[in-house]
Amino acid sequence: MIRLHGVRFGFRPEAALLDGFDLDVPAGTVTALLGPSGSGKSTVLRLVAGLLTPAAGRVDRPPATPGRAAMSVVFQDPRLLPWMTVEGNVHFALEAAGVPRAEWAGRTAPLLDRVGLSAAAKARPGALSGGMAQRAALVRALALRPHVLLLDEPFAAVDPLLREDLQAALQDLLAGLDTTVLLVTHDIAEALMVADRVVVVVGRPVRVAAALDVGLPRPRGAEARLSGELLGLTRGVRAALGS
Amino acid sequence: MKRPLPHARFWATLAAVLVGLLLWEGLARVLASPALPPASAVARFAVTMFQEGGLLEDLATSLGRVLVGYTLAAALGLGLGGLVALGGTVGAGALGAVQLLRPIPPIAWVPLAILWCGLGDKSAWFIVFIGAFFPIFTQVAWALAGTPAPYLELAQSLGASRWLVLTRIRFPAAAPGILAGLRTGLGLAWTSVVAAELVGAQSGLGYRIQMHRLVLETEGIFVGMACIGALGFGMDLLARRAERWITRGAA
Repeated sequence: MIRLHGVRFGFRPEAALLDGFDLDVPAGTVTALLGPSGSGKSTVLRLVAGLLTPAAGRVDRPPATPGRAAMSVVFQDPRLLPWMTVEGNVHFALEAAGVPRAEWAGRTAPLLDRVGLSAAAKARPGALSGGMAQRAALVRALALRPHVLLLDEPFAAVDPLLREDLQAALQDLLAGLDTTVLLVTHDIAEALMVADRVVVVVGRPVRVAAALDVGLPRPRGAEARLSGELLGLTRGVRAALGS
Repeated sequence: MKRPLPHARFWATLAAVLVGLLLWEGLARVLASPALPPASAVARFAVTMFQEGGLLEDLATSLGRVLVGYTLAAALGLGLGGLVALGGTVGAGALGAVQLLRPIPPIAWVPLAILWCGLGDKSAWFIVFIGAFFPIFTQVAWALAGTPAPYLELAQSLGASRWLVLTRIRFPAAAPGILAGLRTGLGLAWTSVVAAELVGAQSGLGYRIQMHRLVLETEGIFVGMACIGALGFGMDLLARRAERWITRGAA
């Protein structure tokens, strides 16, 4: 699980972005951190990723174990290295994580196949569409078999129809995994489609306005989008965002 | 990827060159001065120079000097530029200090070069080195220090080692900048060798055009200049080809 306890973060103490911030993400669940732009949700993700260090408080996450990385991140931009092939980008991540070379192909090929990128394995990222590139970024993150997967507005930069495809691909990839997922998003529908629990954050310093459980089984299909539960939860989230 | 020169542009350029040559020919015939021989006379003189030999030797001498000075500049520029880029505050200080020497044009180093190395090859190597080193060193340092922050953040999130970050991210990200520096350096190396030979040597293309001035063979000056221009153009063309070939595929 991921646990943040009493976390403070800010470049100036009097204008802290986070102060006494607590968050629990139970092991094996998908938690969406939902809030308006600039609410500090990406900062929370970077603190969990270890890319930022808190000024006070604790950030706990599971350590790496043999064959599994502690965590991996999918950023808003695919962040594929343009001088490597798609496959090369995944292999680079595995190499950085210390995975033996003999395992690279066996970890990469099945995932690329599942997101429909087998034919693009040897392509350069410059030749991919935005959606394909973000799929490749998902594959790179999951090839590490991370205990924690951190998604930083991963589909915010693609158009709405493609976004739904990518949400479906993500749900499919996560099915059957015990990975703990923290999804940062400002898209209410995305949070409700993908997550088991939606934590709404507002204000500065950031506080949790509401935490709602989405009681639908995953993966969720297109019909879930229009279900009564989701519509009711949408109202709840909107109310929390307005508070 | 091969991209042919657009035909229209090629023919337009050729036409402009011909018009220029005709204007030159006409002006020279009207003036009839030994200081401006007509294009046709220069062409005839070039044929004689090639037949007599000597021109090719001078050409080879100049090229050899560029090769030595440029190789030294490239090796040191790459090495020191890399050290400075990765050397933190000390590196930034060193880069700043070297920047103070950069505005001094290579030709201003010629008196020192003659004083330190005498007339001849060593002097020319030194000037070529000075001309090529600064752009290469600076570009390498800037390119290696300027790795886009998102790539570094990605590497950090993957737990990549410093070595892996250097060889697989910093260096390839810097490759276009480094290659541009090497190409700029080559152009300046060629400019510098001519400058060095005009005063600091007793052979080479620069020396040859100076000699033609002393004996008032203006045609010879033109032929020498044309050779210098053609070789510089050719080298830049080759460098561009190499650059494109190396960076092919990468966006």
